[in-house]
Amino acid sequence: MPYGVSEQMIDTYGELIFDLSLNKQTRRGDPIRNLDHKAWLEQREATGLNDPEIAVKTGLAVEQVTFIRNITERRVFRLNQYRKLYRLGGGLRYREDRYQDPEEKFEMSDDAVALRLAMHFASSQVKKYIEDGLWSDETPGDLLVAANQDGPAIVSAAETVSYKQLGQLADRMAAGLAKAGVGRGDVVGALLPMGPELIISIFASAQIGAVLLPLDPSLSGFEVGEIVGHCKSHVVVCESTAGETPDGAVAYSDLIETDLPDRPKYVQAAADPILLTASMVENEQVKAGILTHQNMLSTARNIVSHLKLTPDAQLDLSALPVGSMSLALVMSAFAAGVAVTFDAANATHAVTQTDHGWLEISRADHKFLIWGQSDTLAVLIAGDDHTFTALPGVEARVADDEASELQIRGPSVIAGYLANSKANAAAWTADGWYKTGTEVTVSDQSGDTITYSNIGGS
Amino acid sequence: MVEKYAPAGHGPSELLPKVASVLTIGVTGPTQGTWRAPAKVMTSVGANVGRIYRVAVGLSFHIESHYGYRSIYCPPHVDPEFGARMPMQSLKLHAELAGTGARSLAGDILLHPEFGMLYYGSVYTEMPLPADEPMKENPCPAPSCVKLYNESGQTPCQKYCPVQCLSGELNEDGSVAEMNFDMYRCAELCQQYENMPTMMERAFEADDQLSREETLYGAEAQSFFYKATAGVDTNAQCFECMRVCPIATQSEGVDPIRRGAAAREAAQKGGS
Repeated sequence: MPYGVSEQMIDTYGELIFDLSLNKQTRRGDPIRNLDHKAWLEQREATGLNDPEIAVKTGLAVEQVTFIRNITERRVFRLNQYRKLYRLGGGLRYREDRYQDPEEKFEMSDDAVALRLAMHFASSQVKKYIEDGLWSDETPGDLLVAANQDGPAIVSAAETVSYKQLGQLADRMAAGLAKAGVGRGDVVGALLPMGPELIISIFASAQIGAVLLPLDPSLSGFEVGEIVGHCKSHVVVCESTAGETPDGAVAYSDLIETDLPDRPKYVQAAADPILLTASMVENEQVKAGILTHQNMLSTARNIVSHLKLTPDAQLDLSALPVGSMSLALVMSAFAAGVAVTFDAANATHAVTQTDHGWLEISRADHKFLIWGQSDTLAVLIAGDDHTFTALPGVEARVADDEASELQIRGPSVIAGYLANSKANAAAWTADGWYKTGTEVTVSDQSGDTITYSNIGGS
Repeated sequence: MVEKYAPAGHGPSELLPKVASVLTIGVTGPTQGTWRAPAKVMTSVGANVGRIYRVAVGLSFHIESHYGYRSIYCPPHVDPEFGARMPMQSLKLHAELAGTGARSLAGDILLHPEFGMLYYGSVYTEMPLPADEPMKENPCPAPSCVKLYNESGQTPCQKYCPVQCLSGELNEDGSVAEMNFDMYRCAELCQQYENMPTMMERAFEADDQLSREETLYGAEAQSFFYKATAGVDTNAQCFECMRVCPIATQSEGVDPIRRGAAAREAAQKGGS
């Protein structure tokens, strides 16, 4: 007990001593300048006492007052206030309502931390993707801002949503998700068909740093329950028109805040997770691959560079299933500033996905074939001779065994599987290549270019 | 007079038993360019305390050697055994009684109508000198600040303080009815970072190795150790209340550009 001071004494006297000290000062009028000694003495206590004066007032020893005051100050002081100064540039005025402590922006739930811990990219590959410009700080929200705000983004039989409206809807839903308690890194299940609501959901969840978990409505209730449980989904969004809302789910329309809110404060980092690609595998195990903004945007940029879309293009996605490849194609269209449509009547491009993992994007005079998986996104593109070459940044090789399995490294390959060590161990080779499980035949190899055919037996 | 207003144990005679006079000196604050610098730059270069201390030390030697009276440069430091950032002697009290500053709404920072925010130093001497008087008028709050207060309920210094440590009320005539200063908030902002014991405690209490390393090797620690090893002043100062103070930033005496205008013009004429 330094100076005979116990913890109880600090509890008892700490606040009183703190308030009596110079820590809190009040001056009434201008007594010293007016040489009004009487008034000065009368407000002496309010202006802040020194420790001997506080000792007289409280009946404690001076040393005890000093000790209790110092300990109490230490406990009252919070750290990092100085960061408020660091945010002020020349001539700027500090405004409390515009400031957020940096630490608060990075607050994550335990589930979000667990998801983050499940991610791992090889550092040598990351270095390469960043140096080559395949990964950048671009996020989905940037695509919306860069597009013609009045241009159509989503066209359906019911309505046309412009880029500006899409951004506003995403903002409003983001506010609704935040109000529902969704934070940075939390998982948002989306039990929605491929359509406008799912598209808005991924932009909304990305807006607040959350991670979207698309759930195909054709999944059984058991499968949905298993996947949602495995992924620790914070909330499940279902169709507004679904009639009765499933237990624990929230209707999409209920998450759209009425007023356009201020953009939620969060740190949007392109290296963060944006999407989970979950499925049930044998033994009722859930495999949930984690894709980042950089995964999605790099594949979107890769696809769009090959499609050569004109400004009036509209990609009909109504035949696509719910999944990461479909959403990556949405990003591709938005990267080009064109529309996706769920109304075949006005579409310029029809898009289908085959059983062998191809995305077939066809317009009147040409057909593009892009191959990928939900966990790799688009990695190969077909030439006119129906052979496939790797997209920029993607490395492909064929396992030197009887299976002739296609193995991939690239900027769009997942960061790992959430809480599934067995799947993680099975999916990568010892030297870091993703095992697609797909048989492939090498038809030609010339320098760095390898040409494949017979993808997955197709 | 100073003894009368100084708290017990903090009068000039505690330092110089036969003190007869207290001399107060002020030097102006930052340049006009500095006022426009980012806040974190001002924490490093805004203060002029070094200059005033040199002047005060020189004055005390000068009085002894030229006039033959014992003198002492008044230490500007705090006395941690007496209170929360309690000064050994109040330079502010000296300046206020001598009329070189008046208490402002900004936490009683002294302001001068011509020279704005000054850095003060004091010399105690046994040489008897006639005393000056406090200012007849307090320049704070300035008319524009009263106008803002009437419109919004806050003066600029109150409104733009990053930690909202200032509050108070004005009388109908614009004079100060009450000034409240939560010094602990201000001190927390300015003085409780780059603090070695705090860093050590946080390192001991860290939940994991990453947090421990961030505490010991992060930006705050790097800044502290740089200043410690380079011998740079580690005391920070926040200027945000003064940055928006018209007296501190716009009075004629605080603006070297305006002060030097006549001299520059004369030099130009002489050169042409």
